[in-house]
Amino acid sequence: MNPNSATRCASVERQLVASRPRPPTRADRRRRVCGPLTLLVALTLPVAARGNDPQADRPEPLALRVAKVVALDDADTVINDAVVLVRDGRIEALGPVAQVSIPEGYRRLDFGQCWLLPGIVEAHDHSAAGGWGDLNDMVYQTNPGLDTRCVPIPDNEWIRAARRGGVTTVLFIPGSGTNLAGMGTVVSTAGRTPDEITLRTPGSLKVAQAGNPEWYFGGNGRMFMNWNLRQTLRKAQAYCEQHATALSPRGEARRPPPDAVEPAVDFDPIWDKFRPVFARQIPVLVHTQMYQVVMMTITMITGEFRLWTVLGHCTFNAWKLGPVVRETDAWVINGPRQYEFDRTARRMIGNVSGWWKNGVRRVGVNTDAPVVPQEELTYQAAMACWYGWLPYPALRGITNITSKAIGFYDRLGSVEVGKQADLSIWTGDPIDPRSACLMTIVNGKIEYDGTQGMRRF
Amino acid sequence: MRTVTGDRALNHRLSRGVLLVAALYALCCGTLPERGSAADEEDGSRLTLVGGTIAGTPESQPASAPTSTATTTTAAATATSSASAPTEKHDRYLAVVNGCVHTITGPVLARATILCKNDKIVAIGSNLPLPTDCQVVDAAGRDVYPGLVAAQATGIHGPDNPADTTNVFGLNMNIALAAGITTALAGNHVAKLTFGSTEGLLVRSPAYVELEYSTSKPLERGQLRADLERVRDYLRQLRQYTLDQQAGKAVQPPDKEWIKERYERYRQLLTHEAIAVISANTTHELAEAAELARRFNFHLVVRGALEGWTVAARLGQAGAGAVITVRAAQPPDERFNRPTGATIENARRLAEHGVTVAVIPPTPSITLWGLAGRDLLHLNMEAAFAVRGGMSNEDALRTITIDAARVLGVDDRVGSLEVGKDADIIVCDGDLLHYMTQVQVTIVNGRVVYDKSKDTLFAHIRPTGRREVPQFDDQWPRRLQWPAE
Amino acid sequence: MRRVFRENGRRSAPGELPQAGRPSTDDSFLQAGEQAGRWTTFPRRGGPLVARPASASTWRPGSVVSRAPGLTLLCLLLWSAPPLEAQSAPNDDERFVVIKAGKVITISGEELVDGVIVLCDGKVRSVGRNLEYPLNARLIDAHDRVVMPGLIDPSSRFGLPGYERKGVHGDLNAVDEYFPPPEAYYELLDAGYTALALVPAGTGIPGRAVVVRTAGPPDQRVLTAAAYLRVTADTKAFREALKKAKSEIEKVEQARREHQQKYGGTTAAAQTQPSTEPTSQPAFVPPPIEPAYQVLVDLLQKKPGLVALIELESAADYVHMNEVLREYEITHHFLLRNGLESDFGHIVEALAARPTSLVLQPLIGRIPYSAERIHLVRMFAGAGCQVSLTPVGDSAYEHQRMLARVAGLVREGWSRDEALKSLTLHPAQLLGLAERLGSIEQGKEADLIFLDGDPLVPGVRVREVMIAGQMVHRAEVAP
Repeated sequence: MNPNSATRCASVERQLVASRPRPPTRADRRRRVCGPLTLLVALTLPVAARGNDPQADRPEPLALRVAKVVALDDADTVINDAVVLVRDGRIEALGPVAQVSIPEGYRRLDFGQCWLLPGIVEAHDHSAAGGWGDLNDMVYQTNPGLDTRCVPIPDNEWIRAARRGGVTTVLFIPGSGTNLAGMGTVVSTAGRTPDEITLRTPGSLKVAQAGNPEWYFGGNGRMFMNWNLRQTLRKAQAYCEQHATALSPRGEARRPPPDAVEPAVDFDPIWDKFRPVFARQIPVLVHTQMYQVVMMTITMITGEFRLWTVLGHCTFNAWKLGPVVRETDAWVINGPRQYEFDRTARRMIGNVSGWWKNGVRRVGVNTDAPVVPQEELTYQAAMACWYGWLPYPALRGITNITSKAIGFYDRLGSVEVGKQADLSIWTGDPIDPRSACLMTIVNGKIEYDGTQGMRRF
Repeated sequence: MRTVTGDRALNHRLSRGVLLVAALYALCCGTLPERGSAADEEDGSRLTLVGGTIAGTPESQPASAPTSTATTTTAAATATSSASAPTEKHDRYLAVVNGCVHTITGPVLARATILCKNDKIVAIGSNLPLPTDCQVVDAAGRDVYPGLVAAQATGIHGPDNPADTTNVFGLNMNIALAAGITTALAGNHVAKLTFGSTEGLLVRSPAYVELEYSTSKPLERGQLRADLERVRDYLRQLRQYTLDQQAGKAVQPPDKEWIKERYERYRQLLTHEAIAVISANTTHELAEAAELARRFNFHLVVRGALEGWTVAARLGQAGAGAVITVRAAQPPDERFNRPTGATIENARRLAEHGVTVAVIPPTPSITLWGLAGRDLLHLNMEAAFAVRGGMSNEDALRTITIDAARVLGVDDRVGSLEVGKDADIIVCDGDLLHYMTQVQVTIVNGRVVYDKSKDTLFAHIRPTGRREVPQFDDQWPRRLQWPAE
Repeated sequence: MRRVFRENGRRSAPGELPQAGRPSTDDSFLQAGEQAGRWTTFPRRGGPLVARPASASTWRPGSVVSRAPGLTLLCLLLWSAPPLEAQSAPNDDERFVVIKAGKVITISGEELVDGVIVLCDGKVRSVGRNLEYPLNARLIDAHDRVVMPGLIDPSSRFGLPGYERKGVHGDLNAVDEYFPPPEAYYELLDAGYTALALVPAGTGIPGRAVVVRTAGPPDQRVLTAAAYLRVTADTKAFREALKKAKSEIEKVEQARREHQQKYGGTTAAAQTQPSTEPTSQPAFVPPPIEPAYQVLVDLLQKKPGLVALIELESAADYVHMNEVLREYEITHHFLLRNGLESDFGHIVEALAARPTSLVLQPLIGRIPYSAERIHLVRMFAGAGCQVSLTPVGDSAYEHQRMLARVAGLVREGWSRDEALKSLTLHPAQLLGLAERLGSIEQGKEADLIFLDGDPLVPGVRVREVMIAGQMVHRAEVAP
């Protein structure tokens, strides 16, 4: 439905009414309603039809010739002088140019000396909302039931900038003003409508362990915050344990059919959202940093509630928990701060370098956009390397690792045949700031083309 | 702007005749020790004119094979060392040996030595004979660049007169030296990062004449134009008076009592003794600033220049310089048909049209709160982003060295590795525009002021300097079997 | 920190110091001293200090001793089990006093076990072992005491109020603030301090110091009325002040030259005071120099005995100050405010390369941004500087802690001799009183402290204090 047309009709209608000299009759009233209604129906029909028919708007198939494909799959595949075929939104074929033949009808794009990578995946984004508003609804200290599915604004300027940086998928989460801010949403950077951009909702739970929620009441301590958070999660856990019914493929709860033999349990719209969380189908992304706070997260969220945990931030001296975290299945997505100035030893210590050297391998970086602009995720990886990390794990850390952390690795996050065609093409090493992203392909469609004219990034 | 060095791309071909001339010149210099030494005392740049040809003169360029250059420089260097008479103050020698020297205004010398005497570079070449009491900095396997120039920096030097108020042992200065920055604009003064002393700290003060030419203040704009016009008239009258005097006429000099304060600054501007700086970001403001500079013929530097790419030609014709942040992001304004907004190609487009571009990071200071890559510690990365926008590596390096020095008006002293320039040198463990490169040694005014291995700040990060540099070859990126660190 | 100063019940504006700097005939100030207990001083470091109230409710032997030494002796004789006993009856000839001590730390010489000090007229006549002394000398039995010279604090604002003042005030002198109530220095005496250099407050060039004794006969309290010139760490102000002083000298010279041109003849050698000899031509009256800059003029003209004590807050201050001192050569010493975190380690070599006296605080601080400790006192002393120590701030507590802190410094590697010198002889030399104080030597005054053990052993206390040969203080000991 096109909202613009509805409002336009409404305003036209108001003007017409205002200009009428005589009081309206019944026929007039019917006419008044029928006209715009017909118009509305006429306008929405094609759109509705299009939405229902996936065949109508298929992108053209592509054949991409590049100098290097860094697949970032678990086999660490790198193919030089490669061809990638993209069809129907999926990667159809991938291989050296000698082995992959390009069929007819494919649009050929020869990228010469460029590298092809999977689309960059961001696991900690606040900029899909297009601005600083709608980041936090600080109603209570914990806000279960809030959901960000309606917050992202498709194709806003920040998302457009993200595409220029090769970013194709982001986990959009609410802010950290409260201990539990609601549900995040996994969105694609391509798409013009909320339905088009939403990849999964709820995408994740968002918890902020400490380091902002203190100021909700103007001064709380961790004692209360942790206790309160635990109570909230326990309530959610109790509810979820009562509901043993399966979840829909999209992760949404289904109401039990009327003739079900299960005990009737009241449907609670707030706690029902937590079912995918406690079923370990979606992660909980925890804003957590500093040694004590991350320790609390590991103890409570990962240990006690056994949730699929993605540790966000993990900055300051939290890297010292490396030996503890590496024994768990938690993911460490570090950022936006890349270093800590150790004031007892006068040293700048790289966070990711600290995690890595302490044995944590499930580690990536984030931008916490818009703190660092979303398109600079590759640059964050570069900075992590400057402070002591390694380049290839850094590449993995913004594609393979982050997509696994948000649970999308089966669909995207690496260049493998059969996966969704989310690709980015670079003039060279992607984390080198000298390399530019020339093209971003989302779902097989070219969503950003930097080869024509001037590039903004 | 004083331009001593050629700033065009250099032609590396050398005719044998020129080489012969250069060798003869060296010979001549060598056989006149007394005259050379007398000048030595005052100004180390006098000697080794031959050394000057390595980087300076546009017409005669040294050979691509460094050896031929070496012989000439060696001869000159020998002449120098024998020519310099002992002075009562002890001369301090420092040599950076065997590094890959990026002179910026000259060629890249694959394996060369830089010899510094006191605070000046006196020789660059291979196999230089070194004085006995010379401090040696080993740069084997490393890349050597001139000290970086930050066209804007806060928090490193003190306020007002930096020579009086700077904390020369401060942490900010220490970190900036670790970034390779040796000269910075502090307020309206160009100052060096002389850690531990104030000797040679101030380079140029005041740096700029600040002009306010915003379109939102029409009265001030009109006033400025009127004042400039008035001063220009005075200069015309002065010139006429000089001519008349030479012709023997009895004339009165024009009244100059009113030439003080801002009029004095404008006078310096119009006689090219000073540089003007205008902060402008929009197309219209930039066009106006360029027009003003063209009309009154003064050296102009624009600060910001976010939309400079839309009026690059005009700025270039006005001979302007620009201090820009490459990563400044501003979406295009959909209300206009003309081009608007920021672009990563800004630096390149400005440079293509002849604008002298200096690059500063989004936060032109030293920050400690943890966000990496946005402050002065990673000034070289901002130049790397300029490469993303289409600049060549060489041009991008210029934006943080010689062009930044030119924009500050100190390119006769800093910004490149040439004989006669200040001994501000950095030794890095790789290509300065690579994201893993760190500075190993920083030298300011011929003194080592930062040594990565001895300073606690970064010594623990890749201490040997060796790193897994991704090479564009069949083997990159590596698999996960890393060699032990 | 602003301080409202009460005087005659009138609130003066902050920074306006009534009567200070100018001799006062109004002694209502002294009545105001009755409320001395309500004054608080705000030293740079350390907490507020409450001066002792004038109307002391408890009797202290010190006050009595200072007023009536003879009476005290009598009381002592009558008092059972006194720690010290007069072994001979009091006689008319009080000139000679003999102290027989368990140990004498002379500072300038050896430490003497069972040493004997012979005093005459309040001065040390001789010190050694098994000395001869007149029969009628008064004997002080200190066989269970360690005797050493009294401690000297080379820079302090103890007992004085804080105020803000900027600028050049070279004509001001802390002696004009010096109106201590009788028991003002009780705590200092307890701590073993016999002399203090009091400085004016403020920044810039606040004025000159006065060196005073903490007790003793009133006419002998002030040791030096005009000691060093205090200069704080404001380089710009100092440079401008010296520039102005130089221009003042130029002004006088210019006037002299003009006078000579006008009247011819010879004049006396360049002097800034008017000549008193009658001459046929009109005498040259030099134009007056601004009083505040007179002392700077004297410094520039290298008046003997005048020295500036320049305070430094950080290593960079030294670098900047050095520029000024190279331009204008004046005799100077440095006071380094080393605290819990200081970067003075950068300038050890630089300071060692020049003959300099330093005043330091007895702290082992950290290198900035690090947990690494740096023993600055030892480093400077080891590099050859003459180090004096001043307490951390101006509180009585810190004075009392001084010996304990110094013991800590010695324990971490400093030499004991240097440490004891830094409390006594070096400050005396810095203040130009080396001929009178600082060690137990022939000819020096008898400002002595009697401790019940070695000074650098924790828990040892100062039991008695002698100033100018008179017993002025006895510590209160818990029963």
